[in-house]
Amino acid sequence: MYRLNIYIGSGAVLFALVGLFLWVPQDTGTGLVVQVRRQVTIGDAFAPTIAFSLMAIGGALLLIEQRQHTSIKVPLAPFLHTAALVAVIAFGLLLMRHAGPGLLFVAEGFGGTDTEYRLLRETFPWKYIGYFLGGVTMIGGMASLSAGRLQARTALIAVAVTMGLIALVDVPFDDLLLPPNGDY
Amino acid sequence: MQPLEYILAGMQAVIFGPAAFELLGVPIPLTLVMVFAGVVTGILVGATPGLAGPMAMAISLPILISFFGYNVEALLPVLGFLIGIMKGATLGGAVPAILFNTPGTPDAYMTTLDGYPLTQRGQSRKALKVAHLSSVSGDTFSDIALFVCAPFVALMVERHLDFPEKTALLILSLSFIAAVIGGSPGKGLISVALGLIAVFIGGGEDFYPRLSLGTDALAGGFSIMTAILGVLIVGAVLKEYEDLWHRSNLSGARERIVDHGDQRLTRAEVLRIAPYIGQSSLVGTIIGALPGIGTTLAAALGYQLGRARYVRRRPEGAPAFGEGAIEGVAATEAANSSVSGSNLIPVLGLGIPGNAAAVFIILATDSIGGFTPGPSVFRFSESVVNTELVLVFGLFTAMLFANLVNWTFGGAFMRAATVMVRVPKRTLLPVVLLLTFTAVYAQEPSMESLWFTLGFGILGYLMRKVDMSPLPFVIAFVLGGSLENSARQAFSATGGDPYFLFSSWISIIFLAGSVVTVVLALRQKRTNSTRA
Amino acid sequence: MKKFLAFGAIALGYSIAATASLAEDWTPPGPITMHIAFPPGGGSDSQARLIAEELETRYGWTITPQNTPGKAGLIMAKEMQGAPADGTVFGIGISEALDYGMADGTADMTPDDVTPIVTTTLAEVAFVVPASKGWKTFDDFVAAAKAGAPLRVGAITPKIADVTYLMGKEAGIDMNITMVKGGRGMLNALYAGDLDAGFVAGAHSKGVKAGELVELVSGMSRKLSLTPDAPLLGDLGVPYNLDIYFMYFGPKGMDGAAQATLAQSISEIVLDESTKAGALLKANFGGGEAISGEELQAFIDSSFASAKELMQAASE
Repeated sequence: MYRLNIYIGSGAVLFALVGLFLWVPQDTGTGLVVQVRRQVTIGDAFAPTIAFSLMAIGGALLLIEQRQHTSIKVPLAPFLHTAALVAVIAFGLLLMRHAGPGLLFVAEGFGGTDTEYRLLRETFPWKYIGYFLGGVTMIGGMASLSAGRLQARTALIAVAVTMGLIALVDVPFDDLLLPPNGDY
Repeated sequence: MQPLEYILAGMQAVIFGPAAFELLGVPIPLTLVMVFAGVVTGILVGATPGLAGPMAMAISLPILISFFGYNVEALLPVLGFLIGIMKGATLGGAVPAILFNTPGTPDAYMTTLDGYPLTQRGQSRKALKVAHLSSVSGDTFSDIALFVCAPFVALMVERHLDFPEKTALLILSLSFIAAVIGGSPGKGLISVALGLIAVFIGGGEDFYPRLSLGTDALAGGFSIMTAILGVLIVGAVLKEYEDLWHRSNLSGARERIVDHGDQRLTRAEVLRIAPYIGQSSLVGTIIGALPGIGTTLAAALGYQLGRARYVRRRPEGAPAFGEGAIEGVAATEAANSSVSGSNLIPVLGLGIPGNAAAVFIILATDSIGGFTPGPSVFRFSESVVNTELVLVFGLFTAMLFANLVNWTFGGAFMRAATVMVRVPKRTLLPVVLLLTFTAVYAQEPSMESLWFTLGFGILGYLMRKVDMSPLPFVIAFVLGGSLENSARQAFSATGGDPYFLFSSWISIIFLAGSVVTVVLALRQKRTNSTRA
Repeated sequence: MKKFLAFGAIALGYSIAATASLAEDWTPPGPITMHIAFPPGGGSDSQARLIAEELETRYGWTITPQNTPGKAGLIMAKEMQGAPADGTVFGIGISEALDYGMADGTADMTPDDVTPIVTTTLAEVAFVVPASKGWKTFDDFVAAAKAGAPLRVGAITPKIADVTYLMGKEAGIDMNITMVKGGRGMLNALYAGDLDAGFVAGAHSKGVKAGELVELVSGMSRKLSLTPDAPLLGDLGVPYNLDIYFMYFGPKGMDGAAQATLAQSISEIVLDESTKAGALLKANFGGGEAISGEELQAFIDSSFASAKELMQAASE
């Protein structure tokens, strides 16, 4: 972990310096201390300053902690695998957000009723479209990516599980909203 | 009301509280039903490799709250369920450790050392029985310690701690957590700092939401759910997936070992393991009461002490520790289970969570009105009823009931939970992920919060990747607000004294303690690595 | 006192009924999102959720309550900017968000950027001390402050802190004013002896009835219901008050029919003590108070102006 700790330690110190000298002073409404009602009180910059100082101390400690001279290699491949997973998740979230309104847009193009998704968000099937497509994509995509192949069984499980979750969350709980219906 | 009346009122709040349904004309109390359901869920979750108790607590909390509402009546059923999970999961964690040599939770690793050899010898049911007995005994012992100690800790705090001392105590807890978790004080401090920075974004007293980079997205700050579920669950899911990918070349076929011989636990054997259970329970309880030191250390310490004792008293011809000694299973399971009760001493007495499970207890009480953990809970006021105190005794009653469920049905559920080991991780993990997103959205219905959750998940993955524990991050995120508040209050209340932290001996001792813990941890790290 | 309030409430009810014909035929075009400017849990949140529940049962609307807390309600006010104005998005907060919260200009909003709908109740704001201190009147408090070290006084919002400061200034005493989180935090600090006094907005009434807390000053423009003998702020030479209403408001330019219908239906619920929401208001605040229309607009305009003056006065 020798090399890695040096990278993390210096990264932390660098981030802390940016925070202490750029971010915190530029992006807080009041300074370290502030005078209100003839009384000195702690300002909004104080707590983040302490936090970034801790970050700097932590980074420095990591740099002086006794180094083991056995460098563990951190291979790139697992990162790429995880990046692909994150991409699948992100794609699933995008589908979740836009599938319903998108489909409505298409339906209107084909002469469907002219309305807004906002007003349909509590009606079947609109309220499930985004969640269903996004959920199936996430489960099916991640499982297939990890297994390295596409299987009909995986897709079937994904469909069944997503429908199960809809039944579990939306049907019994009146005030619970499935994504993306709370955004409207 | 007198103290005894408070205890009775607490029990009544559980037993004569709202009923879930009627069985043969007898109303069945909702809280007890929820505790039972929680224990069963906990055992199943604990027995599933890749899942852990805190995960189940995290996902169920928003859903429970949406169902039961935010009113004070919701508190006992919701906390009952969460505590049931907490207690069930420690019991369930032993199942895959003993049967398949794969610990369901990290603290069950030590259980594999003697549990799996027992299975190989055809004694798996006996091993499960030992685990059950030790786990539940340790848990019960720890609960009793909680009931006795929490009120005293709280009263001491209320009597002796003013704003400056409370600030110093929070600093001590955070540096303690940074120093002891994960074995690297440097990484611990970075983790704490990240948690603090994350919680300070968007907050503050001024009208301008600080550190928001002028964006509306950051102006409201990160909610506690996105940060914690992101780092704890999404981060774990991503990391687990990567580990699966590493292992994909290994064949997963497991040999099946059939039990043979007498599986009963004789009275003599129970007497043999009793001292190990007692010793480990004490160790686990003490460790649990300190914030930040987790069950894993308790299990390791309990196992080491048990082995030391066993070397002196090993009966003729009995297997050594690591070769299938029932004492080994007893020593670990009692130790890791006795953490959970005493863990709530700092939660109820100070409002400071010591581990991930305790974080969700705090979050539940934060979300539901009418109960704020901390010293004021334990005011035995006589003229007006302190409803919070009644709730505490209700909570204790629920914990005792959870133990009762564990004692009576726990063993059977453990055997039934064996099936969970066969659930394929590859499909289970994305389901957990989708469930997490759904739960976050239930609490905070905006897609933004899901993106934040994913972002924190990536952070949690990277932290795990570089061996940085995410727990200090989580606890710093939970305590950051109180820390800033109490510092502000201490500063204003002392009339702007910049040295308010040094205004009394108690706070000076707390501060000195926090420096000492970090320095000691650093020195230990240095000696360890020179030796290595 | 109570009778007078009840009479006022009835009178208001009538004045709303007069505009009812205009409102009758409005129905929400879709599901409603009701923001709540308070964190989940606690009395303010329950109040909002119970009103939403009652609206759903009475009119068959679909309402999803959503907590949007922060900055004494300003975060929710920001959320209203750009929200659809057809009556499907509105929220409940405190009037302080619109007056004091927007007065110094940093929020980049004025009360004109939202549409006030209706108030639900006036918070019972009182300057409270623990009974164990032995202070019976504000004069006792002042005498104690003059005799010893500066007393510690809590405040739950910046506006309250300003008024507290001016009150001390008028009385010629020094106080260490400390911000605390919510009524609950204030009460805990008072009970624990960490604070000596502070303005509380209704959470204290149980403690006053039990004899554990004493009300010394009314923060409102009217007398306290539990301690009618306590002086008003005006009696102490402070020309401001802490009239803090719980109130509903919607986005700027909200549909007039929607505004009128919502005002009417919400006021009917909060004034009806047989509803859960009405009963809660009765228990916590002595009853609902529904002000809407021009009267509400006039209150907001005047308190916005007075908040600017208060800010000025407190920073001198």
